[in-house]
Amino acid sequence: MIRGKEGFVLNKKPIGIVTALHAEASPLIDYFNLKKDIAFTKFEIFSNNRISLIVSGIGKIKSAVATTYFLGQVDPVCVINFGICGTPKPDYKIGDPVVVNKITDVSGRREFFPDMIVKHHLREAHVTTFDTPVTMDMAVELNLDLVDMEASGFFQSASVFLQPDKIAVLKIVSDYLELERVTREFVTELVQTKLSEIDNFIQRFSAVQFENSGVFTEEENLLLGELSSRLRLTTAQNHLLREWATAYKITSKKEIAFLNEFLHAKIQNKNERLLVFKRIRAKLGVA
Amino acid sequence: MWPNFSHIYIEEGAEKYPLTDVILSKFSNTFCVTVHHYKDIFNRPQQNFQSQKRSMKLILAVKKDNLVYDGSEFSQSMGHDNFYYNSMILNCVYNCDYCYLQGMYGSANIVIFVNIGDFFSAVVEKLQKPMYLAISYDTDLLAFENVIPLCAQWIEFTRAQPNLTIEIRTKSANFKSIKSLEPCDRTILAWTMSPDEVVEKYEKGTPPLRRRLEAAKEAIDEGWKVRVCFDPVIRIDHWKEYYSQCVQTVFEKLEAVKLYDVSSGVFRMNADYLRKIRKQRQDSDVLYYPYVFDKNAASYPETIKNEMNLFIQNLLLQYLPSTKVFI
Ligand code: SF4
Repeated sequence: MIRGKEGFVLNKKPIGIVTALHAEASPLIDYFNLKKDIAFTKFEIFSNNRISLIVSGIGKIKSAVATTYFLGQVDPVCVINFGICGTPKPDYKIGDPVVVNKITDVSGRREFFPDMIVKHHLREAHVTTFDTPVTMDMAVELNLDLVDMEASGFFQSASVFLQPDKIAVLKIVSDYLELERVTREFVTELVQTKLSEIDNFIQRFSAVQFENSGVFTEEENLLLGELSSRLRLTTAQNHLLREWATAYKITSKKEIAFLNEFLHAKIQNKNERLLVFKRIRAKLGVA
Repeated sequence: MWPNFSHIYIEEGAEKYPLTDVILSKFSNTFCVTVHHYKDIFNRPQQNFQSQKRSMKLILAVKKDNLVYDGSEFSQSMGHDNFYYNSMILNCVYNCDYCYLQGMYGSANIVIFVNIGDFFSAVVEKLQKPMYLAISYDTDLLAFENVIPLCAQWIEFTRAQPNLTIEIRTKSANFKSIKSLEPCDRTILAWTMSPDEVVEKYEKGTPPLRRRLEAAKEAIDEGWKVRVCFDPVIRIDHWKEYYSQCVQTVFEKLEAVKLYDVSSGVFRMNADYLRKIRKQRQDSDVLYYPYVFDKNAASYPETIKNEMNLFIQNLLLQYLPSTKVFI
């Protein structure tokens, strides 16, 4: 069970979605039947038992801050930045969903790469994140693919918490850099028409997530923690205990419940502790 | 067996090299993504090696320095003083559980350096003395030969350099990709042979012993110098039985007198790499044997190591003189 710092409780890690605008989020909220979680006050977060979504606000700084907050509080298994983008290229159609394989931050001139581990049938492209809206002339001159205002901020923050195979950016082409056309209603309608493709991508992305859940069951983790604290093991000894137990479990394919007997070992001094530690080591098959 | 790479990342500048065109021509349904520097993608923090292994990408790049390295302490020099190696490819199409590359690199994606001419020049600079160069070092070069014919180019280069001997080590069965070349007597094709129990359990994606043997036999018959390597020897249950059987199978298929030599070594790995791999994966018992971490290397305890080495040595000496056996 995962408990967020503000009291949010999840049975399993959800899939995280970060959107900039409420207009982008609302079709997803309806489609996935997400409920606003009032435990969170700093940002709007909507969840069900599978998906959790945060609305960040516009711009890479807001996206970075919201992503940091979201990943710290909700701890999703993976996270997707979803939202609209512009393009100077007429070969994209309005409404095209596009998976981003490269993000350039125009002000920092830095490049970021999500791991492209999902097999999908959508287009892929390179998105360039700007601090302010971009004109057609500028985008054509720079030969840009897609432009947005969040992806680089989102990605940099997400990378602090998650491996690059657990981060994705999915955009929907909303305009040819004529921002005046992009109204709230237009964005919502655009997302609504692509919900099945978006859902399909989210499902594929979550299906390939490979969580290294560790070798121990929850009880075994508790047992090792309890042993460490009852025997007052040092950090180095605790590390060794886990290493021996891991090796034992993997090589013998047996449980480590037998270590329970050491929970009640009588220890009055350092030497006795060392003796018990050595007995544990022998029990775990370390010569 | 080649993955159908979904993405090829191309470092700025690498697109000018002919090898890039050769590689790109092999993959038509692929997203090409340009990168400033290959390390921008290869050296990202916190990558998941095994997750990437399931969907490997290609990265084409230009290597600017360290085009040839002094021989590593983890590799046998086979009696050659001037032992060098190079790495035109980082990472491997196979996925052996015990592979040190998992600890050496953060990424499982495959980097191919396309500036082969610079690699040749770096070797020529050192050829005042005879040089022994392992060219299939942090990879399995022959397994890539259908995609990028690096072995063929190195063999032709070696033929023209009297002071150069190269070793191409492989677990592949891909001799056919260089079969059309004239044998070169300063090229040693070195096949790693393992019992099928080890292949199935730990050498994921590699051909079975039978196919490696067929390839090695074909190479010998064509007049190539062939080395056989039992390396790493792994202490699995019934290891004596499995390795006895394996050695016997090898010498039933390959005539001992026709082998250039045979080498063997027990599992060993840079200690930091093994520590790093253990942190990343807890799914393979070969990584969790109670190895001894000695100075920089992790391996079997001395008595066990000696027992294993002696056992394999005795097996090999039934077929070969001691001058041809390197343990
Ligand atoms: S064949 Fe060699 S380089 Fe390739 S995965 Fe196996 S051990 Fe590693």
